[in-house]
Amino acid sequence: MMKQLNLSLATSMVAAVLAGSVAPSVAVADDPQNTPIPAFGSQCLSCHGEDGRPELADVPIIAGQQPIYLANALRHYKSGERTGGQALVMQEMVKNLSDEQIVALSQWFGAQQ
Amino acid sequence: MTKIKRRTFLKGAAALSASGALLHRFAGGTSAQAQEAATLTARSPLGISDDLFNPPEISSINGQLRTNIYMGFNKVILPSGPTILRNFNNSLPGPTLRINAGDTLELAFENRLPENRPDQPTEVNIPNHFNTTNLHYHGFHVSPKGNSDNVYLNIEPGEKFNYVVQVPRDHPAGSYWYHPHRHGSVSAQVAQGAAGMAIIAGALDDVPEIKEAVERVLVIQAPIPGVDGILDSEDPIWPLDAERDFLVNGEYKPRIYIREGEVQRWRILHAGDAQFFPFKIDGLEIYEIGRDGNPLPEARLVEEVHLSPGNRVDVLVKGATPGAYLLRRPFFDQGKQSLPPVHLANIFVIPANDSRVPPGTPFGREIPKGPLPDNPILVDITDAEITHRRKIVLGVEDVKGYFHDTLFTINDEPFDPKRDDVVSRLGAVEEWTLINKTPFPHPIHIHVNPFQVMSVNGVADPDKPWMDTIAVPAAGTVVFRTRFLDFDGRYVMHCHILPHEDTGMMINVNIEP
Ligand SMILES: [Cu+2]
Repeated sequence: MMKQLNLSLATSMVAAVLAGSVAPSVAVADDPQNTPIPAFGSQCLSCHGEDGRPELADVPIIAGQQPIYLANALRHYKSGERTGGQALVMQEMVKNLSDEQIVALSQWFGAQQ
Repeated sequence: MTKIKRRTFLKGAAALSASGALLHRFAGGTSAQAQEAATLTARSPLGISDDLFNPPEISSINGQLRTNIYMGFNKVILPSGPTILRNFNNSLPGPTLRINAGDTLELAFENRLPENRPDQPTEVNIPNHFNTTNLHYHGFHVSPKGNSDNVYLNIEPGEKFNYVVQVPRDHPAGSYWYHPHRHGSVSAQVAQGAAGMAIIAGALDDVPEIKEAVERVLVIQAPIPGVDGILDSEDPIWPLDAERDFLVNGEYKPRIYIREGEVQRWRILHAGDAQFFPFKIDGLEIYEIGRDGNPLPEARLVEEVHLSPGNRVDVLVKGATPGAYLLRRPFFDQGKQSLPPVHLANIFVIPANDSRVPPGTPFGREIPKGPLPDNPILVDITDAEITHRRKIVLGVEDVKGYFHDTLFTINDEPFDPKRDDVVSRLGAVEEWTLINKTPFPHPIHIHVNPFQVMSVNGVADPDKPWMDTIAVPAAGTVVFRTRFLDFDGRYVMHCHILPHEDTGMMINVNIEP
């Protein structure tokens, strides 16, 4: 547990340096992995799990996936390019999300380790 | 009223029953009640005293089944101890009703429960008034109006009501059931075991191999007692793991006998309140022949049988080598909830010439080969027939002030008895896509007209089975097609996890003439 905390702190500090941030304390606060999911994304968690790791067998793991891939998938659910079967469930979930919200959620899930 | 009290056994006593020391019960006989109905007491179809008894049975005579059904307090001994349940006719489960297509059910119904307590919620989607009730004929294609299959009725304590249910001549034959359906108290009453099998004879029954087989009725239930006596709160039945001790025909871990080489026909009803019941019998062959009463294309050997609350399945079970076998529900996940294994019954395969079985007892030996008979009116619905398509979205919301701050929704709305959610007309043929936004499966049941299942999670079902209750998987979808035939009027579609129904997961369907 201790080790995990240290690792996560180290990762966020590296991220902070790369992002050009000066103060590590600010970097920790900005770390998406330690930030709660935006309110408009809270509905994702019931099936995809609190950290993007689902407890349901047929629900994919989206934690740590590339945000660009996640955003693309969400846009395709919204537009109906991905349809039928469980894609219909996703279409219901994303139909009212703006593109900014889609990007924000993709970054949040992508940042979950 | 039957004089024979159905018994269940303490967990300690169940150990005795496993060693063969089950208490003696009485074998039944047929008697006619003034030409109104024939009654059969609970009995073993093999005539063996410690065998599982079929529930008591009431059958029609000359096209009529006229009998008394009442809801009242029933003293029982559950595996968890003695308690009092709300049951039909002092019987757990209620008596089996057996009729033919074209018959009329005339049930003089009486609510013998005492007055409701005064402090009842007035909000429609908070469980309330557990002593108010009514009757629903699950799977029946009959009128939803007046004194027929009308689930909007409130039959109050002390009230009587005469149901007259005219079953059409071309009604599909099969295994159906009846249970209370008053919104607000349906989960509490069914969770306590208020339910019974209803059989419409024909179709499969006339297949020679099935006709010569012994017939069993198995009603699976896990009655939930009140915390201190009579159940007067939804709390004990609310958690998905609330159902603990599953019974068959009111018996805990009963014995079921099959003779060596024998094929028995079992009509199985899942009358539980919430948990799914997948089951298997290690070492014995199970062939499915019908689901929700409707025949499958042919008898099909299955590893595991899947039942959600409300479903029926007709199976043939073959007795192989003499010995003891276990009928069990394996460990499984119901959505996000892990549920424990259940040891439901002990199957004993006995010698073919066992002297306890009276001479003349039916002895089926064959599994039917080739196609099973159709129910003639259940013809495949083609693409060209579809007159309308709809999307039905299943959801759940946290809303302060409701039971456990929970509201279940369909198309984002909890149940409103005044709102018509679906309006269509007689003769319409519709395709509905059910979309489940929640992490739990919901077995969805629609009244009056059965539907043909096209796909689950986008995977087409080659059998396109006719059902009346279908589990929509967690975060999954189901597509079904249905014809609105013969009966106009208002009725409902809802989740058969009944605590979900009572907290909002139900809509009104209004079929205009
Ligand atoms: Cu449900």
